[in-house]
Amino acid sequence: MSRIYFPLILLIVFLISSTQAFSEEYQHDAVYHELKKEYKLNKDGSIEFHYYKKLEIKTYHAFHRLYGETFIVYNPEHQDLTINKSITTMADGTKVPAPDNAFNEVLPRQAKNAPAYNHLREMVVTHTGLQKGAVIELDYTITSEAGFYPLLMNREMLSKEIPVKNMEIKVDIPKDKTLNHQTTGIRTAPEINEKDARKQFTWKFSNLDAHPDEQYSPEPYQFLPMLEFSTGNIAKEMADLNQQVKETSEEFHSQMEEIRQITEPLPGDSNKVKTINQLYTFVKENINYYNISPEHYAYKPRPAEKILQSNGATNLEACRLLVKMLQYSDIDANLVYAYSHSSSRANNGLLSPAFPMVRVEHNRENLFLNPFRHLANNPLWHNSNLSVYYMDGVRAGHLLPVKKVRDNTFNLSLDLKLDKKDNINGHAEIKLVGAFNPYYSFVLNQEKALKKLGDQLGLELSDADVTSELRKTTIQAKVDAGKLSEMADLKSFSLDKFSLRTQEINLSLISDKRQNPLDLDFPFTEKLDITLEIPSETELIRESKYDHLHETLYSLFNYKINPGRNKVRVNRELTIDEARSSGEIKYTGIKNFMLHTKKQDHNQILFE
Amino acid sequence: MRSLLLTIIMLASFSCLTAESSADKSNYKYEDYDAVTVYDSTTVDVQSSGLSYVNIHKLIKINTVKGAKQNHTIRFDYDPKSAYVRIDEAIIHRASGEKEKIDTSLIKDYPAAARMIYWGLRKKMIPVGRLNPGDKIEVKMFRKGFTYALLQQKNDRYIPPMRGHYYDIVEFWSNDPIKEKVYKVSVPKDKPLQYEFYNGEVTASSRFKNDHIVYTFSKKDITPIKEEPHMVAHSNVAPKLLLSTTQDWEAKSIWFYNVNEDYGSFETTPEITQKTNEILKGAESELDSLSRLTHWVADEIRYSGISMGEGEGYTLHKGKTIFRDRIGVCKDKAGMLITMLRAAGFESYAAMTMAGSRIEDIPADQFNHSITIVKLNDGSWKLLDPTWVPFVRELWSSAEQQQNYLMGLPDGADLKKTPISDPENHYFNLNLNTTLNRKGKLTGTLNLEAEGQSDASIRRFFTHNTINKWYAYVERQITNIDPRANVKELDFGNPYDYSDPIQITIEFIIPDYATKADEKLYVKPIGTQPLFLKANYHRKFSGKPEKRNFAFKDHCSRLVNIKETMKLPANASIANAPDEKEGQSSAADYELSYQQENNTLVLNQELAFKKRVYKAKEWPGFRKAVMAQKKFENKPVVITLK
Repeated sequence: MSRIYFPLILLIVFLISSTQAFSEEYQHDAVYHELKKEYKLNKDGSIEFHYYKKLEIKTYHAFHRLYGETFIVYNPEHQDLTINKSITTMADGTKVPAPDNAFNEVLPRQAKNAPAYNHLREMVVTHTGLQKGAVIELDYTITSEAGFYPLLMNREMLSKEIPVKNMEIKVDIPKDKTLNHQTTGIRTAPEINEKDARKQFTWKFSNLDAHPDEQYSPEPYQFLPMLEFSTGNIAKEMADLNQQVKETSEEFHSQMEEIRQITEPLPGDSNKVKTINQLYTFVKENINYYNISPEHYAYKPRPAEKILQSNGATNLEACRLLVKMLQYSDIDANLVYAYSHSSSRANNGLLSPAFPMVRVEHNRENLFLNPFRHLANNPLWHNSNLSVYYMDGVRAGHLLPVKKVRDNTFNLSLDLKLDKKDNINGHAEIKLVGAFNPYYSFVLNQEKALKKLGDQLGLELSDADVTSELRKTTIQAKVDAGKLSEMADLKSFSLDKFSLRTQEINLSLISDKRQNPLDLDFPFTEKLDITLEIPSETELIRESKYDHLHETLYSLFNYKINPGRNKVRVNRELTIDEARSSGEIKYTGIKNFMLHTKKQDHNQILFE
Repeated sequence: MRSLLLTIIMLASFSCLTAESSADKSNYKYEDYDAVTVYDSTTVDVQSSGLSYVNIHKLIKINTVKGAKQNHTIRFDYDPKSAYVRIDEAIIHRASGEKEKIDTSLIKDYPAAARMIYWGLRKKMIPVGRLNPGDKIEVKMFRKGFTYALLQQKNDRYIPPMRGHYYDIVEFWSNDPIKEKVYKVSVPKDKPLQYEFYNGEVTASSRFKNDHIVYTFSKKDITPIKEEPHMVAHSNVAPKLLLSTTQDWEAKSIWFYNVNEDYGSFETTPEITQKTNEILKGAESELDSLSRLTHWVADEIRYSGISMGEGEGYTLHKGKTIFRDRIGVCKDKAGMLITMLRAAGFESYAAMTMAGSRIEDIPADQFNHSITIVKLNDGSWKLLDPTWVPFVRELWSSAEQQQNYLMGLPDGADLKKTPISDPENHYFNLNLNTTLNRKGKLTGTLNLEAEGQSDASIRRFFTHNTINKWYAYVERQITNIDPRANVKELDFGNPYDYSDPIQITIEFIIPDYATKADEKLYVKPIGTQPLFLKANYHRKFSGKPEKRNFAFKDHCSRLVNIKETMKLPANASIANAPDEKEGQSSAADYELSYQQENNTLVLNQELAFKKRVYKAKEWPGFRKAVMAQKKFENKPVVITLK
């Protein structure tokens, strides 16, 4: 029997029942009675994966849309799939075996425009005879040939979207192999049996609660209970694979002339930042993205030449191509893998990395690039707890932490004047620091970046003087803030648009019944300082006001409005110190804090 | 991606798809587009059996990096059970003048990616690889056969289902511009071909050649359509050519009837008859019986298509199979219902329709959906659609009103159109009782009741989402208006029980909802705000453009009734409120007003949207109703506190 100790998981006792008088059957759409997974590493290196599920349908939605099919993606060039059993037991006990035409092999959607991965297949098992109360049973085996996977490993999430009554995970390996394993968020030790020349580890879990799908949740592996295991060091094996490919494909061959042209260092680019940008942009804009899961190509990238020729790449391949091109431009670059976990777990080889990146040095800073991942247009990585594993170069095999960027500040100072026709014009000073700094956008196309920023803020920026650096971009510009808006017999100047982060967070998606931790990506501060000169005949409605709210540890809000003679000054400062919060008190606290900042008093100046 | 889709695949399979939209590109210059089709030539040789040999020759010019990226593969869809496709040649003409022939052995032939329908469709893919602006791709391909098959002998697999007949629907429009498109078809002299070109002009000619007549259609400088929001499907308004050797729709109707009767699609079994009797036990009327059987099939037969092999297409799977597997696509659900209706003694047949666009009068197959018809005691035919009515309080979905259909009857039938459903059948009634205090806090209760397609639009959120999202969805209706809203209670009953119109109640408090300035409150009553947008599709219209060139469509006709009674603070009075609005037109009627009754503000809104599909000239009337509601949404009521 397992014991779940995450406070959050304890919260996953369903709350909907408190407001809805549903019967037991309407608590969940379906339930797994049994879920079994067995991994067997054979002596010759081949791996067998055996899967069995027994799932009961509880609602129409469950069989109309959720569990009517099971999709099994595999690589027929190196794997065999055998369906051992597929049968439905209807509510009245009638057994409906799946007919022959219920097994259809199609191309996985991720591979639909990717010739290099056109050999992948998705077996669609259609479950027939479904109705409320029906029970689906499916049993299949995938056998991977020796050498396809570098080792036996996996990460099993122990909380599904529906409850699991019984889950069993078995790992069977030769006695002379070692299995690293760890459970997180749930305390369960495996039963270990040794027989003949084999060792078998068995984890049994019962009554696993479901987790809901909620907006602003962290990645599942960052907060849900899980089991990880491997028979070696995953990152090291992946580094070896990368090296193997490198050794057999040093040159671009037929593409060499094009590569020479693209990688030619730009004139006057002494610190090479423009060249880095050019190559990064080349890969990002020219190469199609193949969203293929690494397990389906066994973590092996294609050589850079093939990637360029085919004009398409997986995440790993795009990084590999970029590294290669940077190296042709004599820029120090490495392929690395990012971890957003503790380094100890990565070091003992348990953890498969989150995603690949390119490390490139610029002005003694490490920049981390990935052409297919959105990094806020800024090569600095803002997430906390990030480590990277070097796949090549002198640091190959080393896991190193990435310097954290804590200062993410948006600072807007406006010196404005309201004319008699209600037009507002003046001068703006904008500072974008850390995660707010769209550094690449400014380097690549300053006009476009300014337009985008202006659109976000509801301002028209002109005659701009921009200084853009990796950590900070500063803009001095003339500003047209539009006109006062009419509100019946009043006129209003709205301040809520003067935000880059709080406006993005849709508070209505943070339900009062929330169960998952809240993840706002990064801690931040937004500061607004407005001086608005008004004509003598215009009367300000608001009186002077000061508001202060400080939640220790995670938030701060100051608001001050000072009406002066023909002038009004507004200061607003908002800080969220903690990007991720778990527990009902924390996230409702953050929500309430942000709701407070949205009070109308804090977001508009009224005139008559 | 550059997919040279064979249009016919979309049109001939009952997969219930809608047309893709195209970009809005107003100032037309070839260089403005990512890629341009320099020429697109199709030559068809029709045999006396109806079998066609098709040669396609295309040249695409790449203008931009994006165009190069999109064309790094070229793909063709086909159904191997009824068609054969061969890529004869693919050449890259580099901007430098060099020619690179793509090795045809590298062409991939593979099962197409699929969801919900698994009929064994395949694709061929040319791995073009890296291109640059200025490069051109030339492709020559050959195709024979058709895109669906019926119960033919194996050596006849490529002959079309209506043996001896040929039809085609040729789009003379595209999302990318086409400099020149030519369609040439050679038909045996004894096989008269009727054709019509719709929504534009084409250069057409016919010539005798041996024992054939060769028809040629060509058009130059084809530009993408300038799209208008909410416009009807492109196939309704864009240039297209329809050709057919079939005599008329009656002939197609009889053929469709015979196909399924000959196959035995609707034969009952003891199990089906037993289930039918069980469902009908206690049925009180003819309509009750129809309702019970239609909803049983709608709810219990899951939409999913697994192939019956040769014969997929217009043949409806046998009732016995569908009843056992409890799955099927639209035609199979229609067939299951026919089987049960016949088992219950009704006269019932299958019909074909085109969800999303118009069917032209040339009898070239323009169907993507199948439904059921049943003869009532009074001799009239009633439409039933078990595919579109799971958890819907209708037997025929009014989201399919003003849609053409063809019944498959023993004596044949002409093309018909589904009737308009009155707005009253789809009412959306919202009642709010609220109280505003002197500080601007609003408390209140919202009661919603909806019927017909308005009911279905709201209920669909519940029946298409997991249970743990239900509460948040209803809560969000209020918090979307003001995130500070605090929902005290909410009740939405059991959404799977649709025996009565859906009802939702929400009790809420919104602190500082009204803006306070001096001794006045500025408030936008909750009833004016966009609540339950899924059932108020008209609120998604922005009011632009002011004038339309094309017909447009809503989700369904509807009647919106909103009433809010807001209790004001003591001694408060209305200083200013938006003026009363009213209007009538063939598209929409509306009446919106505020009144003060003692210490109470009363909001009344009644809007009737009368159809699903509107002509362009009806836009001003529709727009006025939409804009009147927007004005009430955006303008606050000013309340003076004494």
